[in-house]
Amino acid sequence: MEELKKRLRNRQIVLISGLVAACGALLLSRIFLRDISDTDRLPDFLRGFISGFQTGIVLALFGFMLFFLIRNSMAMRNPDRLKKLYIAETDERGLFIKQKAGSVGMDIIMYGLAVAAAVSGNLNGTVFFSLFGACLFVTLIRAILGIYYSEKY
Amino acid sequence: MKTKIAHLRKQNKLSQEELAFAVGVTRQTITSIEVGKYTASLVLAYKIAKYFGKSIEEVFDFSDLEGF
Repeated sequence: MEELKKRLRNRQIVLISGLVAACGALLLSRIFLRDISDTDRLPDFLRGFISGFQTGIVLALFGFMLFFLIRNSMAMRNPDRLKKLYIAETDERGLFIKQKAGSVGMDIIMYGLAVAAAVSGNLNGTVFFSLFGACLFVTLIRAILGIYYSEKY
Repeated sequence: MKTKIAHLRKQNKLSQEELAFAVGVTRQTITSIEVGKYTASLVLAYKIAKYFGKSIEEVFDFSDLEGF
């Protein structure tokens, strides 16, 4: 249980750092990418959508962080809650479902991006290279993780 | 995989929640094992069998695996 407490403390640091990094990236992109941005050419409702999405992401991240901060702090003070949290996090069926969903999900994303990139090649070069780059990135990550885990186990 | 967990639980007047908490898994995991949707790992099978004071073979039915 002490191990879990330590892990929860570290996780809280990562959560706060992640939120600060996300807000920082959004703020810096607003300041420095303004001049080269082409969003001004978009209709009002689309610009509103982008702005709403950015606000939503920050609010969601903040809510997410707050929820986990409160949950972790309460668990660290109460041994019964801590055991329940430990069980929820280490439950073998839960971990199995997560692994299955991650693996199948990654396959679907990879094939979906490849097909979308191939189709977009007939429409627009920028879209094609964006999708092609994303597909290449996902494939690379999958290959690296495959090598890493085959060495580990 | 068939198991005698539900039977042993009832014999010991134990809820799924109590057994789950004792062996360190969620109630849903115990439910899935009981209905045969999920096969427990060796470690979990050992913990469950030990909890009831039985051997793994007495709790879990491995007859489906014969022939492999």
